[in-house]
Amino acid sequence: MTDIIERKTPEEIKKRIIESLNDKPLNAQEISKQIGSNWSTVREYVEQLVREAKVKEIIFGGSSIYQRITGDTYFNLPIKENERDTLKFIFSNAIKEYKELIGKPIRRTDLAKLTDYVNSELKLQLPIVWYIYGPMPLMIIDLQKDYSTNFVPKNAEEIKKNIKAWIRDKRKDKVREVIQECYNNSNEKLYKIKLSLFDKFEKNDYKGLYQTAKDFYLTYLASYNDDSKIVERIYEVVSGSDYLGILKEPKIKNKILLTLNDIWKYIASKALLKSLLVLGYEKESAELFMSPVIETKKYLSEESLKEIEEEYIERLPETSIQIKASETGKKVSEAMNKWLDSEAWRG
Amino acid sequence: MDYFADSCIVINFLEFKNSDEEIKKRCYNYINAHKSDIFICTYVSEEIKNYLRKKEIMQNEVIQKKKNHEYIMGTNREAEILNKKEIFFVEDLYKEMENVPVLDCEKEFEEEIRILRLNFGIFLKKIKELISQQFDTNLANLLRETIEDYADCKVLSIALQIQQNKEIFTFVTADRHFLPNAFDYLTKEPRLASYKFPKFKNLLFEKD
Repeated sequence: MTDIIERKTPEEIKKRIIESLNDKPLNAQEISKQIGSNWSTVREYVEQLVREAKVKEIIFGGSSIYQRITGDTYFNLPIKENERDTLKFIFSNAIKEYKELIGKPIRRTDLAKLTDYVNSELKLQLPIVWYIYGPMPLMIIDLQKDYSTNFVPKNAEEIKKNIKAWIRDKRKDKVREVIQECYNNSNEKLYKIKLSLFDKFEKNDYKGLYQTAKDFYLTYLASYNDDSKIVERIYEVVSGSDYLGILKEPKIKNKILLTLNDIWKYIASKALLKSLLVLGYEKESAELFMSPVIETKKYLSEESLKEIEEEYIERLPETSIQIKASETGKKVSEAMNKWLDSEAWRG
Repeated sequence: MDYFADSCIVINFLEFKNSDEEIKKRCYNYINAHKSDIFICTYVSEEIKNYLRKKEIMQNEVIQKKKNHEYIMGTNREAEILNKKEIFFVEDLYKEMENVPVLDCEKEFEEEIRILRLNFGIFLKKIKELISQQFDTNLANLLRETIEDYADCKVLSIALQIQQNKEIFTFVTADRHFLPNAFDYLTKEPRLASYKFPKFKNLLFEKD
């Protein structure tokens, strides 16, 4: 091993270290194995790369692992070079084409949805994930950046044709409409319901709010039945506030909206992780990248929840609300009492 | 005196609907009479939330079936939290509601579950304390030699743990597994001799 080290220049070692981190974060020993240099050499150069902001140190399970800083992807998630090139090709052509056809610059949302459209139509298998506003490329869209590239993908003409088709047929004046259409064309039910839930709050249209909140809760349970408590808590607040008629209080309404917004970011980070698995990222490395993000979003959601729950509890009546006894209610009770007595619900 | 309430008594209290169901009425009156002296633990609170969650999903399963007769109850992903035994109860509920129009059914379920959740919130607001205490596995296992249901053992274990640092309170329940003589037996169990025991009251075996 020593012989090999002697033949490499520091720049070569650093380059190989970065390359070894292309797919997933590794610890010093794993890097050393991959590049064929000894552990202490790797440690030395990795530390230099950390100082140069090319690599990030993460403490995981009590030990250090190193992640490549891509600088151009969300959460520094790794993407392949040909994927990066194809995305640049789509971005630069879409920016140019949009300006020519519409006469104004393209918006970020439009570019994200257009890329998703081209990707789906041509089955390009680009790294596109579901996040806060639906599908988006893992490569961050920065409209100030120059995406021009000499790279020409093999189906370049098809890509250009589809870019034009999207601008011609799918473009909408309002960003909201672009997002809505995108959700409607997908199977992501939770995104559609979320849009409708936010809509109701923003328009003060509380008719059917309970049903929408319930759909949101149940759909969440169906999609992520591992941890439903946060969503259940906000559902309870929305349902109770609507029942008690306190949503007209701006303080309550605004705090619910803020909390829903934080919870949505938490759910979206879980959706992103799910997308990564669909794209073929290794479960372990995808979780390594996304777990800290999910945990932070969860913490922020819980903080917001505590605030709205405090306001909500303050407004609860002093005595219980009587459930009206009806004929149908009696039938329900008869059937459900057997379940209650069985204590099967405790399992 | 303070009262440590278990899940059954709280659920019966929440489920009381001015009906003729004796035990619910007894629990309702008991909790109303002692509300400001009642405390529960987070384990009990979680059990009650789980009960409400499951109840809502069971109702939803019935609605799904009423809207689409082809639907096989228990196959929705959200219904995965229901165990096999509970699917039979869902089927019973469906049979009971078979002739009720779906809209009436939805209205009835909606009203009930919303009020149940609200009332649980009101209950938590009015009681003396919600104590965060984990159960002691060794103690719960020891109790299991006498009390059949493990969930009950966990709750009793928590009650015993809390009792060691509190003035004597009453452990109040409405659970058929907590037989008064079994509790008496536990108070005399040599391996529990160092434990200070709460008083015991099971409303199922009480007379008004």
